Amino acid sequence: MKRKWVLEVLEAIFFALGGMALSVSLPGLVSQLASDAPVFLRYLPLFFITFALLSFGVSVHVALHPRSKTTYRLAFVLGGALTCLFGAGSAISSILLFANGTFDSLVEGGITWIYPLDSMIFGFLFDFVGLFWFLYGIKKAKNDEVEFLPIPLWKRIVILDLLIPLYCGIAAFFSVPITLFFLTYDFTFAHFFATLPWYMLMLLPLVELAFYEFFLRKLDGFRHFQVTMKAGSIFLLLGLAFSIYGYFASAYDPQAIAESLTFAFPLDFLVSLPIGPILLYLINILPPMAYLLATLFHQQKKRN
Amino acid sequence: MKRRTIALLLGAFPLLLASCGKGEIPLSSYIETLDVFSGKDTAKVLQLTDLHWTYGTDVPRQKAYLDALLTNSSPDLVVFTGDNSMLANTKTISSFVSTMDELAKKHHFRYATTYGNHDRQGFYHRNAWRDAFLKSEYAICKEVDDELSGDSNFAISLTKGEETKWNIVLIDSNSYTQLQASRYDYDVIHDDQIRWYEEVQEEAQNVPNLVYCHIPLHELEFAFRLAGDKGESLEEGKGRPGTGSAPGFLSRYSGVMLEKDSISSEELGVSRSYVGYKRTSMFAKMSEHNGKGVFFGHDHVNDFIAEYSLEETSPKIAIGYGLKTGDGLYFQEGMIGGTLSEIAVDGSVHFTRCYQSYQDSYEGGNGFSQEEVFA
Repeated sequence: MKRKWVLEVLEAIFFALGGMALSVSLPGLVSQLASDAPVFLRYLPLFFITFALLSFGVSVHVALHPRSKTTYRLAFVLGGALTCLFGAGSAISSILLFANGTFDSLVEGGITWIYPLDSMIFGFLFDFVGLFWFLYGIKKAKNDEVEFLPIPLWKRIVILDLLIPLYCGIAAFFSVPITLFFLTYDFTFAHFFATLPWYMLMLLPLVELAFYEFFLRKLDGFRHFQVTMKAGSIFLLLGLAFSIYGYFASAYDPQAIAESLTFAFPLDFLVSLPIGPILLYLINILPPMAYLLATLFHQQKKRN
Repeated sequence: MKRRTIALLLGAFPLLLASCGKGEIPLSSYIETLDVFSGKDTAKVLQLTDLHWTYGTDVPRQKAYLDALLTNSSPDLVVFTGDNSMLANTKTISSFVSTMDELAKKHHFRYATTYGNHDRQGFYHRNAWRDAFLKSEYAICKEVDDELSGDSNFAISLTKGEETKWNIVLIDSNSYTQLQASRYDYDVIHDDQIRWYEEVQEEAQNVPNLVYCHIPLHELEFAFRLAGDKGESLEEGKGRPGTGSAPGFLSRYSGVMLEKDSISSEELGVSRSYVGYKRTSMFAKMSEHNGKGVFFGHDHVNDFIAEYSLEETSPKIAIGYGLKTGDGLYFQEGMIGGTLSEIAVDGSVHFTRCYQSYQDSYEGGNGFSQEEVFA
């Protein structure tokens, strides 16, 4: 029980940190790919840290919800090894890039005020964490009592390995404008009513994820069905309502996103396409709808 | 009772927000005076553009580059036409401003910025650039908290003693507009900004003026098409045949447009310049108010500049791109630096492209060369 609680806390922390790292690295990577990568090396410690955070976060999630005894052990062994590898990559690249003069100083700044020193420290930290994780997987994980549900292969691949991580990645990406709200919000209130729906659409998936992870998935039987139908309908209606509001708000105030939300949609303004709003529509409508339909279908099947 | 109060308060909130109007703002709030002609009859305005500093930028390398360019061009005023940053954070902004302050102190110039479509794209609030400029001793920033479209709309009045000889007008060409749900279009200078430009010029009794903004006007593409009509080749980026359909009249021109063909305005169709989504009256108003030149950034591998007018008899206005500065994002080797306007108290102006390469790519010399725009 205590182990599960620790894993849940770790999962929440690494989800937030991973989202933050992703939202900084991904646009950085795209900008480098779009421009013959002139400063790619300077991003390297950040890219390694992002991979370390993501691999550790994913391994915590898999350890928390394993599909078999093997995947439970693999979560520790493979997750630990990858975290170690990426942590070492960050620490070593920071030192080497400082040694060869790419960075003038270890606290040159740029991505953060003390970059790449922070990446180096986190790199070493991930080495220890990854090593501990790896050794736990080798020595102790086999003795842990683990519960897991038998899930068909297609479901594992399509839903658990593809769609849910994608949903979590997008939700994590948009967690940054929410967590950095105090720093980036347009306090001139020039487009308050036109930006409001987009903030809500960024917030909703995070609420849904937390609700599912920490409450809904612990229920079973008819109670699970009841709560899913109620909460799922509310989330779906909210998602639909804010999507429609966002669509019309953009039509009414076409400058709102460009003037007040560029930090939330960094990729959009590299390619002049509204990728961010479209992703927000999709992750706020499709997942709750799919989950509701799946639960209904499942309940119907049980009755029959 | 309680419910009614809450409902009233909720209802009043939007009204309260809407009533926070800015009132009438005197024109003088938008104008900074700079006595650049004292003791001389000419002054140099250097346009730098599209530096694209990010949170990964190698600041010492970029500083050395700018230092070399400024040493070789020795301007009195530096004007940035937007996209100073993209994917930046507050550290990027402070690095940029402190770098420019240091260089301004060393080379004795002042500098001003109008925003591009990427300057707001970072982890900071929308006034972060303004706040940094306002703290600087060398930056000129007259961003006013007003109802006027855009933010970086202001003029620098260049004087000889008390008398204004030139106006340097910076206009925020805004960034994007989402006219269709499926895409963002580049925005344009709005009508209220054009009226503001006219007021600024009328206040200064229509002194000669140069306008700087980020997103090009349609008239630049018209000039390019007219160059094509004169037999210039589209393949080499020197002109697109317009088969006489482009409005206006062209005299001298030089430079190329190497950007890929695109459609950024339905009105204009396929073009080499990423213009705003519609044609505005800005260029026509410049003709009425003694405009001498209008320069843009935005397109990194276009440096076409032409002398162009809408009417055959009206004075020609220089319209074109400033050279992209530095290697931020994409660029064309040998086509980076700045564009210098040497203005004289008699109202004449002379344009020069200042090419500057990076120290680590010098092949002898100091990596600097220049070329007259209208030789």
